[in-house]
Amino acid sequence: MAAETLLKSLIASLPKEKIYQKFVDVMSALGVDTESWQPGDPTRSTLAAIASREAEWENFDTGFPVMIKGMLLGLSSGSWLTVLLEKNFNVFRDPATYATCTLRVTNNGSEDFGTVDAGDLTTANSNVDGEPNFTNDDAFALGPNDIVDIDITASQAGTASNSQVGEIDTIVGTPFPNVTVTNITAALANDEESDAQATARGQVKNESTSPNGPKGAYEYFAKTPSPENGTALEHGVRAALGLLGEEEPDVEGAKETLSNLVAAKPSTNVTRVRVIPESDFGDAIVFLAGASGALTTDDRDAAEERLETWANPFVINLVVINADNKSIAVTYELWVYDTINLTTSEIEDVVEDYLQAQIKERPIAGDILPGDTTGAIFFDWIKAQIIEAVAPHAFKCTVTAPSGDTALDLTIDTDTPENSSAEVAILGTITGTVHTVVRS
Amino acid sequence: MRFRDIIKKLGPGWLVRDVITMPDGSNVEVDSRLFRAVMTWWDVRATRLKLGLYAALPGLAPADALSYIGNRLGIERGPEEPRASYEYRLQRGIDDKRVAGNAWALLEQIRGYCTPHAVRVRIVNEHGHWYTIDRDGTRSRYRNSTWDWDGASARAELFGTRIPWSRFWVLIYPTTGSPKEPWDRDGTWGNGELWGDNLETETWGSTASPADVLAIQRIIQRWKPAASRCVSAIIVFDDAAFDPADTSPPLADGTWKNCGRYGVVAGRKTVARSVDAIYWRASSGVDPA
Repeated sequence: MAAETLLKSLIASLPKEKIYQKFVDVMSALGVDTESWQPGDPTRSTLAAIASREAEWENFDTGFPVMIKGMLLGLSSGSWLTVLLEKNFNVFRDPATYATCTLRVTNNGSEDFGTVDAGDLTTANSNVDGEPNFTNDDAFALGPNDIVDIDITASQAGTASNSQVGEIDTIVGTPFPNVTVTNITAALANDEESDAQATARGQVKNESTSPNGPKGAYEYFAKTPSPENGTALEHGVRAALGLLGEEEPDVEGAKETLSNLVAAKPSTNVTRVRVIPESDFGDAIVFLAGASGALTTDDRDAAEERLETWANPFVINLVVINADNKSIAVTYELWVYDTINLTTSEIEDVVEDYLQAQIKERPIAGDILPGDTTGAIFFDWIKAQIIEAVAPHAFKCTVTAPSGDTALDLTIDTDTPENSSAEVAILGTITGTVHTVVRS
Repeated sequence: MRFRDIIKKLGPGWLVRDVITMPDGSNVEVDSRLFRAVMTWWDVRATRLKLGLYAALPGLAPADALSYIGNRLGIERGPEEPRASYEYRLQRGIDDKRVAGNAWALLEQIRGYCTPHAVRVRIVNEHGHWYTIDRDGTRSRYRNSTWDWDGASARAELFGTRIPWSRFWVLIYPTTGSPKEPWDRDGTWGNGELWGDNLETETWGSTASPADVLAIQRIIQRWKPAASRCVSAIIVFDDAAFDPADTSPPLADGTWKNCGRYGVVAGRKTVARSVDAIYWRASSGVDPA
């Protein structure tokens, strides 16, 4: 019996030299004297050219190995993962969302601005350079000494536009003399669901089919829009197809219908879930957080509704708790070879962006060592992220803040589960000092 | 059809045929060896793609792909479990997941992990209801036994505190032969072994490895209802022990919270629990992530 071809060999990459050698081996076996080939020999050149082209298909990240890995959850990534989740699990990767909030507009002067049309008032978070901005969703009237609360939405999707209460305080673009603005609710959005997050959701999808309340069902429905939205999506697609199937197909109408569906693709804003898997008293305690930490009350309430509807047996006491933010300021010093070809300021930005992206993946209550009941954001992890952000160019890093592991709260109150609490890590101020060193 | 077989159809003879002079001086026409080398490579790749697609399908997947499929389904493979058995469990994994959280689903996963050894597995809950899958796969239930682990329910009712109604215990009976499989008793007091010896490979009281204990913990965590607690996984070495119909010790009698207890022999601590079994903590309480 022939030896089994293992997965590790199916997903291995072959460089062009090895492919070329395989060609030569076959030709030798067929009786061709390959030893006599000279540089420039037509056959040799042809095989070398084909081997070079074939090697592109062998690339570990873009070629055949990706296709094979794409079939297996845990190895699949990128767009292959998106397709795998949609087709095999009926799980749709969460898109990036737009931050929205309520903005208080105060006219301190006597000028009557009349009706301000939708999109005509552009505001910004003064702590953020450049985009994203926020514009008003609907038209509103602004008369002398008026104070008006309006809804605004970020111009770009993703967490870059996230602003805490009071941070959106600047009018940009068209000036409104003597008018001040401040957001009275937080503006929170999410980035597109990462590969790791989407994979984790796929892994618990099957558990969501059980009505018996396994832990995975809570994890899945906390993060996933109600299946009813899938039904709405199906109806929308049917409506679009109906428009195309008419005697005179309404292509534009179908396009608009589909476009609206895509725009309305629901997102839960829940990216992190910790289910306390043990209870003597029939309590299912579920902590929730989003990419930016604590959720809005609306998002938390919506998650609770989903869990009650789709995961929780009704005799079980479901307790859904919004995690508390634990801000971690980071001060570091980094030595990088000049091969990175970036300015120190750009390197600091790269490190900050990377840290922000990675901290969003840390679980509620941090990483918990086996046998421990509480967790932390570990000092070593922070240091490793800073180096990894600019790998392979960094060769030394010191971190002075935090000075050690940052413990995160995880308190389970068995008598009154509603009083349980947990913290989720967010980044505070990041202060970097970067040295570039000429590589000898 | 293989790529090697289509060489003839790729073009005219001068392009796709070689003429080889044989040792006897005769000329023989064969497929272009240049094309053949390339087409052989393409055949290898086509086979590789086919096998790559199979890699996601239990029953067709290579051995080292099964763990990825198992991880996706949350199904643990036992250290001695034959490949065919694990593939079968993976194939029915989606159906099993639909009943995750009930007693049978959890017990079947433990049986699967212990394969090929025919173990008896049981669950008893706080209410004294038993679920048993015998060695031959026969399922049975027994209701309202006198099971009382630590008297907590009685105390709760007496003092008005919350009743720990969602607790349960898992019992695993290894095989009856000698040695018992997958685990037998191991170690006696004073045999020379020290606390902390061989931490990576051995546990106290049985031949189970730390990896076995952790795997059983993971199975229980993943297949039980979230709002419940498995107090202990009990490895029972006497088939007659823990008969649900017993009304007194060796069934738990409200004094089993700790291994030892006072009050039986004046001034001395005595063993509280049945010595027919060893008792594993069933979980670490909080998941690592």
